[in-house]
Amino acid sequence: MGKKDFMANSTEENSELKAYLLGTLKKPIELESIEERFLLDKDYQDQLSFQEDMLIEEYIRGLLSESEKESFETHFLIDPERRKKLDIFLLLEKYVKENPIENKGGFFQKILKDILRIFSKPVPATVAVLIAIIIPAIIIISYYRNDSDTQAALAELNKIYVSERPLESYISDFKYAEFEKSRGIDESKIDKVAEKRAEMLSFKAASENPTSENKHLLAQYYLTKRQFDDALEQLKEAQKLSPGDPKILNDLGVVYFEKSKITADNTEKLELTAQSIEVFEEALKSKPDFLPALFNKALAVETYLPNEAEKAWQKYLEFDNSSGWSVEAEEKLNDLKNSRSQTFSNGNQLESAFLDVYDQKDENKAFKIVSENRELITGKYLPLKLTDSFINERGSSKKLDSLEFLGEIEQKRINDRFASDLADYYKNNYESSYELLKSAKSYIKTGIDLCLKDDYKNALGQFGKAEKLFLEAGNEIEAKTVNLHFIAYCLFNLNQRKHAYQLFKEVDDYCKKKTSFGFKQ
Amino acid sequence: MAKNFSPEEFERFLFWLDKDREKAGQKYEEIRFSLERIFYSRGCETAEELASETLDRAVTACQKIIDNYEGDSKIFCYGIAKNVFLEYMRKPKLTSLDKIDVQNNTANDSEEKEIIEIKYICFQKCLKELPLDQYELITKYHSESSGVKEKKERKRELERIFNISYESLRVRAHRVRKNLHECIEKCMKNF
Repeated sequence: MGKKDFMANSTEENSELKAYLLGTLKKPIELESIEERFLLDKDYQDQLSFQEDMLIEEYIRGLLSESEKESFETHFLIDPERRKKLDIFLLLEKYVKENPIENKGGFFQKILKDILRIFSKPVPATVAVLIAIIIPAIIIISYYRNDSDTQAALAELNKIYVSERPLESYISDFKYAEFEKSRGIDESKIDKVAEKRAEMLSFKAASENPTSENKHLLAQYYLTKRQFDDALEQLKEAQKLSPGDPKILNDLGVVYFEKSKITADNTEKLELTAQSIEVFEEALKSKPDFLPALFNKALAVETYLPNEAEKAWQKYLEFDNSSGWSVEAEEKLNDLKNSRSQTFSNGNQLESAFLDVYDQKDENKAFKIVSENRELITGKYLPLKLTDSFINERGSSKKLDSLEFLGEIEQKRINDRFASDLADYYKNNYESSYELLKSAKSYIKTGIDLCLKDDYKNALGQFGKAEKLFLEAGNEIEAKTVNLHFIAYCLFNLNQRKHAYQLFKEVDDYCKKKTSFGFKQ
Repeated sequence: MAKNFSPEEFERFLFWLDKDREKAGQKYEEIRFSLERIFYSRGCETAEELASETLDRAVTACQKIIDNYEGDSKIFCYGIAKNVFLEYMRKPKLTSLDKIDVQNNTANDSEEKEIIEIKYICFQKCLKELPLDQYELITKYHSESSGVKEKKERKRELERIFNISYESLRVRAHRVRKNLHECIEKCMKNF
């Protein structure tokens, strides 16, 4: 076959090659026949390369069937060489779209040529005036061309994620789309061409005109691709150019929050979440009704402070009661309310329910109760509640036995030795350290009451005293975990967040060192 | 990974591919490139590794048959490639979660960003460097037109402008894109 005769091939042969490229050719004989020819025949390699181009063209022009489109995206594009080819198509499409030209050189060169032509002639005053108009006009047109890139890229991004959004967070300027939390975004549903266009447009806008808006846009593209570090870099630069811009601040918070969700390090997770909340709050300082920041703050708060989250969602709903975001906010709020109503309203109720299942020796029910109720601040954490009662009732054996029962279950099911270590301690030290423990528990109770009244400063003093007594009584477990956690909690609420993180980390390190009970987050 | 053959065996393999050392090197790279394309076409994500594995095995396997083998060395390599492919298919694949390496992905993403920026610059440079006829052909070929009627009209107009059939135009456009592709690759390497 001659080198220039690609089109002379039969339709059947072209269909076979198309099937080969899409991975739908099933017969091994046909497959091997193509591959052997491909290896040996240079012309055939060109023919296959031509078919690749035709397939790409059909894909871009929307001429492939649904199944072909799927094979194209999942099979054909595995090959990086083919992806490069697709890039060239997209670059060309983009170029001709932006340069609807008759002659080589494009729009600006044409204007430049016109100007040079004018300059090459003697300049009458009227022409000079015209030049004075043309040059600023070019600058303005150039600005708006970049501006239109920005708008177009944003439109493409919204188009790509019209049915499903890429992140749980609310990215500034993004329209509402559902988020599938359990599996993340379905990549096969993404319009790859629109994605490529968005990528090209945002890169172009940011590189040709690096304004805060364009850098922000590029960051948003990175966000959708979950390239958080790249997004962060662009957002920090954008922030320098437009400090206090709520949209930029919001997306900065989104980066921190989304990063917090993927990091495996608990301390880092906590730090990132706190950082995100701070940035969302900063955005809200400059625009208190800025919906994305209100939404995202509620999301971030929900991770660690479910009670605060209720307030945050309610706040969001004060400003938005009609969008898809508001529907989601309402669902979140209802979930929080429902989960609260499924639990017990106070520690006494919780303890009583647990003692009932302890009497029945129902491990499943016992585990369910303890798993669903781990709120220290409201006293609904069984290991502590049981030790409190044990002390208050001067060594009630039922309380200690039920704590041992709980310890066994947790150790067995989740390898958590906290309750059993606590039971051991109280069993062996109750009599000798009763007074110390009673006082320490009393300080903790007062501290918690003060926390619930938002008096963190005085609460801190109470927990400090409790810590001293626990250590004196040799109760390192409570001193280094629960009590220290409360101290960190107070510091966090007193905005001494750095110090708070250090203490949270200390609690976590202690738990890891003991390898018995992980710091639950 | 350590190779299972000596430098002498590798030289012998190259000599088998072509007696001219330089041409043998080129042929070696051509085979590798073709094998990668074949593995990718069969849906192997690790096509590059499989192509290397095939060539490594070919170096060892050919030592005994070099003197008597009749036929093209490419087909010999292809026979080995088919075995490598079957082994690949039999191996349990990593789950998608196992494949994720956040650290490395981040590094790749930032590299990718830089590559895209460079590519964009190179694309513009290469497009400008095209001979005028090629430039006009490719830009006109890719100019958009919506609607069936408009598309037909555009085809006719292109046939009229370039005085060739639309099918020939597609082939020419393919060649121009190929030139563009080569130019961009070269430009990116020298960037």
